[in-house]
Amino acid sequence: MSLNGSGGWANGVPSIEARELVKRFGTFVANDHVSLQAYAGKVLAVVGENGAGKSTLMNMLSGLLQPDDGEIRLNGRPVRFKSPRDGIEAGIGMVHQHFMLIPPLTVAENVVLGHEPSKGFFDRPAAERKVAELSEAFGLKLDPRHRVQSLSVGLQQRVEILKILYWGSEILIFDEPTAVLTPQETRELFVVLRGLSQQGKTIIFITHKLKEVMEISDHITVLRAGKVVGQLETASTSAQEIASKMIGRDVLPEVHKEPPSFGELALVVRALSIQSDLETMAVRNIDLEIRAGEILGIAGVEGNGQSELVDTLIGLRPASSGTVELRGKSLLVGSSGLKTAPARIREAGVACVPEDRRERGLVLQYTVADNLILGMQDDALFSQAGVLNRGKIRAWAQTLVKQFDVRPRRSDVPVGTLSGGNQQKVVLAREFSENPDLLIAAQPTRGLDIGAAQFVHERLVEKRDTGTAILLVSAELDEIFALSDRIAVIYEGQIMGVFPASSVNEEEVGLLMTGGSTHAAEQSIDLSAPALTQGT
Amino acid sequence: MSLAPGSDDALERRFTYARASGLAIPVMSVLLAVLVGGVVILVAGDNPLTAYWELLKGAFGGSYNISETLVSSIPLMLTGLAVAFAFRSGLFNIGAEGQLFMGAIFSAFVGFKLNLPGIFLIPIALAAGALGGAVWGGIAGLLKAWRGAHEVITTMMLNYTAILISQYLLEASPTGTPGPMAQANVLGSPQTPPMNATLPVILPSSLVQNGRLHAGLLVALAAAVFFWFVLWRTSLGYKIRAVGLNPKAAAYGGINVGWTIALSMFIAGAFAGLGGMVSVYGVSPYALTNSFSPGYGFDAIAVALLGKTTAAGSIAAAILFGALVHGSTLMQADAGISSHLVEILQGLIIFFIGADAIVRALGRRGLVRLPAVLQREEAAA
Repeated sequence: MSLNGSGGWANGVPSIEARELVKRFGTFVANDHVSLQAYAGKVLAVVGENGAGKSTLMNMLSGLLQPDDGEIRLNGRPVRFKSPRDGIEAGIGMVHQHFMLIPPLTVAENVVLGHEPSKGFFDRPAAERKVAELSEAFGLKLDPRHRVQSLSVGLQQRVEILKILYWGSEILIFDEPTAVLTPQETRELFVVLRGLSQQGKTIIFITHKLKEVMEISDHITVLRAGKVVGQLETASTSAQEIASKMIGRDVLPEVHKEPPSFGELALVVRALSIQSDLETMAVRNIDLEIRAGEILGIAGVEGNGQSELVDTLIGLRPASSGTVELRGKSLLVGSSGLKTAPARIREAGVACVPEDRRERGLVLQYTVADNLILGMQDDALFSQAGVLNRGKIRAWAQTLVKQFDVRPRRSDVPVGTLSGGNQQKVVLAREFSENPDLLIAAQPTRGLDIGAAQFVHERLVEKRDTGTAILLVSAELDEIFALSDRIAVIYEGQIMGVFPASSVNEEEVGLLMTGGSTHAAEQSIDLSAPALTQGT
Repeated sequence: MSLAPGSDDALERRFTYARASGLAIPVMSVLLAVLVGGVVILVAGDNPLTAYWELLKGAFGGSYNISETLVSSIPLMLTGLAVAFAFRSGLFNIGAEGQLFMGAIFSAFVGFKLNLPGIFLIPIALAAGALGGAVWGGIAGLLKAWRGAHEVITTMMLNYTAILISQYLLEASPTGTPGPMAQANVLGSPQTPPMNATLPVILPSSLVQNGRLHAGLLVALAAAVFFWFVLWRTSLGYKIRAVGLNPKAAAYGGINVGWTIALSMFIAGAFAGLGGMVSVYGVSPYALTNSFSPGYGFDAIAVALLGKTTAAGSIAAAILFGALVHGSTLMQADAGISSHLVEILQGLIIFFIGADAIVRALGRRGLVRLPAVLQREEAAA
């Protein structure tokens, strides 16, 4: 444990301090004598891989969990929280990853909920005035009268922040706040965080994205397997150093990639249009081509038609018009030639790592082995005359578990008990094992730690090199650039351009993702812009 | 990759807890029901210990009572399986009662129409009963699959329909003409002619004097084995469970969700239909009457939930409910305690199954030590 005592501010009294906190769940020690200090006017980043104990620690600081041992101090005084309410009253506010908002209510109503200004009845004008004042004071632009359900995710998060500011919180904890945000929204959040920090608030920022750590934090506490393995000052460290502390070895999150060798055309999409659930056009008249042995990355802010496009390609959503062909055979069926059927598309040679693995990719209560045959349960390999061949399924699963390094090395445990990274490995193992001609990977590393993300990236490149056409959909530009041979930018359902990956940079793609180059530069400063682009 | 939380040892322990807590909730809800029921008896001015002793004696005291307890539980086993099976595909089958009636009607029809020896008639009647229930369950399943009609509404409506069809078939019209399936010239409540064959009694009279335990028990046990086999050993069962647990993942994997749901309701209905068949062929008067079911299809919901929607659990829960029903008659006769106590107990059991939230709340206040699995879930929530 290397305590850093060099910085001047670090010698002052921390506004919040954890001393040797211990939390056990049964026999599992989630936090093992964890200490940290955060200071007013500074941003502390708490980093660690999934399952390192970050959330447990924050839940103890905010009063949601009670430590089994150790002490929490506020401005040097020991405190003891019995509930989140105690934490709130002591000035600790937490912005959770999953928002705690009531969508049909307005911004103002959500913010004051539980502490409503009243003149015997709900004083709406006073509430709206107060919320407007707050949002003015802290640079969180919002209209107090808007309904929360009509706001983008980034703006909803802003409502959460306003809420804890309204409670008078001095210590603001953010639990992986950028996980749900677009790159644009992330940048805006950072502007807000800096503002709050300059006004003397204490910010604790939980993340496992090192780029963000380097960008926003003043100092860093690194957790690994429930223990503090490093306390660093951002100015005097590097992403590499943090990464090596997080995972216990030196890792460069970069993929080694041979130049591609393209085969024949695999996927050909022509003039494809798709309706969204709201019956607006989600995908408008797009053309795409992917060759065997090529990774085509679709870059775009989420909600610009990517999900609908993937749904159609895997058979869960009919097209409105256009054609989709894989190796010359149409994937769209029915008399109209626009319907799709997931089973037939799988047979035709399409596999998919879905955007939301917990919701779509896995049956969490099923064992690893059972998940590995999802969609293949009627295959002659796994069942005869409708009776499952348990022996074969187990043997198959054992092979894949080993091959994809799923930890623990067991196929008989419910997949929901595995960490996110290992769950994703199970999905990957299944989809790869079908030997598809086209592999769709939608947000394949979302929520994964560095080690797991790197593993996924390496496997995708390997798959490409065996001649599979890969369609990569990702909101993370780093990922798009790390993997793609060509990059297509999607904006409001239209392809803004397709480029060889070497011919563009992140800036250019970033501009196209937000709808063109002329006013994009201003948008990155104007905080209210994304709300307008989200609406359509 | 942090190994600590996922190490084999820790996982092993977690699953042991998970299994223990799986059994803990049904057992605890029964115990709590007995406890609260005891208070009710006390308030009513009786001695709870006497009451429970008499209830236990009535249900399991001697081979005759055990056999009668089983007789009461046979239809519950089958209807319980019907509710449990549908539950596995994510459907709440409130319609076991209607499926039971249709099974009884179909099987009774062949029973007095076909003059065949038992060895032929019983298998035909079993098939007819299963078909009757399956059709009734299948209608709700298809409506759900095609039009998204909610199964709670459709199965409930189909209950009324089936019961009223049965009444139409048996009861005399205002002009005095007996119903199409009714036996003419019978005084008292209307019924079909008696069946041309019946389910044999399976216990020799040397073991149980006047014992009525019939081969319906074997039908129910075979159905439970079938239930288990289909669910856990076939690709159909794999699909049904996948649809029940995560329909989105199932659809994404290429499983036809609608068809799977319809099929599971078809099979569920067949279980309840068999329950109707054994009720007609297993006990006196060996004919279809309007009052052959005291609500087997409704108690089945509690049976399935108490049995955690497993085959073995449903059988065990059905025996418990059968014991309560049969035991209560003796308790009332010998100790003078109203047999309505049993209904209170049944209600309390259902209440406490649903009150797993209460257990968690007690855990949060430190009054009960929760298993590690629940602690984790609490922490995550």
